[in-house]
Amino acid sequence: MIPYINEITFYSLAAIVIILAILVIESKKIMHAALYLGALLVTIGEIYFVLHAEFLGVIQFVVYAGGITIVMLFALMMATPEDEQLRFRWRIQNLVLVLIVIFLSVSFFATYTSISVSDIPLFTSTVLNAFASYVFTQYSVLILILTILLFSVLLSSTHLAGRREE
Amino acid sequence: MVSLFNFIMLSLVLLGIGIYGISTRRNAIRMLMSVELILNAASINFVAFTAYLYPDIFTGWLFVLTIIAIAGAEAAIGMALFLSAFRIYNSAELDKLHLLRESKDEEEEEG
Repeated sequence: MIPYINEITFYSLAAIVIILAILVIESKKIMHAALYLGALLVTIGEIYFVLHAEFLGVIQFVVYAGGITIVMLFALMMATPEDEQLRFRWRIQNLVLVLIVIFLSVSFFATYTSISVSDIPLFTSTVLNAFASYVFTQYSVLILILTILLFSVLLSSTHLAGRREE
Repeated sequence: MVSLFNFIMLSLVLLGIGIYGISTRRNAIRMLMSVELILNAASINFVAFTAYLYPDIFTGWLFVLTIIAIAGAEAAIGMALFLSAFRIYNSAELDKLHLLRESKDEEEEEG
C-alpha cells in the first residue's frame, strides 16, 4: 500500500518534527521544552496516520501526547522553582505558533481528504479485528509481560514519589 | 513519490538529535525528553517498514505498542525519581546529585 502522502506534506511534516526536536533540546525554559515535546508527539502521530497506521496514531495522541506530556508537566509544576515557572503573556511568538498549528492542520486534512473516503480503512472492523486477534492470540505473552511491567511501575513510582512519614 | 528512504532519514535525524541531547544536557528531565525522541525515531522506523514492505503483517505495530508502554513506564519512574531527588537537593541538575544520601540532615551534620 502506498502511504497517503505527497512530497510537500512529507517535507513540511519532517521539517516541523526536526525543528520541534531541536527546540526540545535547546529551549531555555524547561516548561517550553515539555510543550514542544507534546507538539512533536502529535506531529509524529500524524506521520503514523499517513503511513496507514491509524490505530497507532490514535494511541500516540491519547497515551503519548496526552498522558506522558501531562505527567511531565505535572512533575515540572510540582518541582520547579518559583522564578522559572511560566506565565502567559501575549507575544508575537504565540501568534506564530497558532499560525503554524493552523497550517499544519489544514495541510494534513487536505492530504487526508484528497483521497476517496472508501480507500480509508479507518476503524473498519477488518483491520482492528486482524490486529486484535494477532495481538491476543500469537503475542498474548507480550501483553501479559507489559501488564506486569506497568503494574510494578505503578507500585514503585508511588513508593518513590510518596512522602515518607518519619 | 515519498519513498521509504525519506522516512529512514527522518528517523536518523531524530535519533541524532536525541543522542546529542542526552550527551550535552545535564538536566534530568531534558535527558528523559531526549530518550523519548530516540524511542520515537525507532517507532517511525517500525511503522514505515510495516507500511512499505509488509503491509499485511502487524509485527511493526506490535513493537510500537510495546515502545509506547515502555515509554510511559520510563516517564513515570523518571518523574518519581526526579521528584524525590528534587525534594532532597532542590535541583534537577544531575551534576549536583552526586550522593546517594537519604536526607539533608546528615549532609548538614558533616558539613
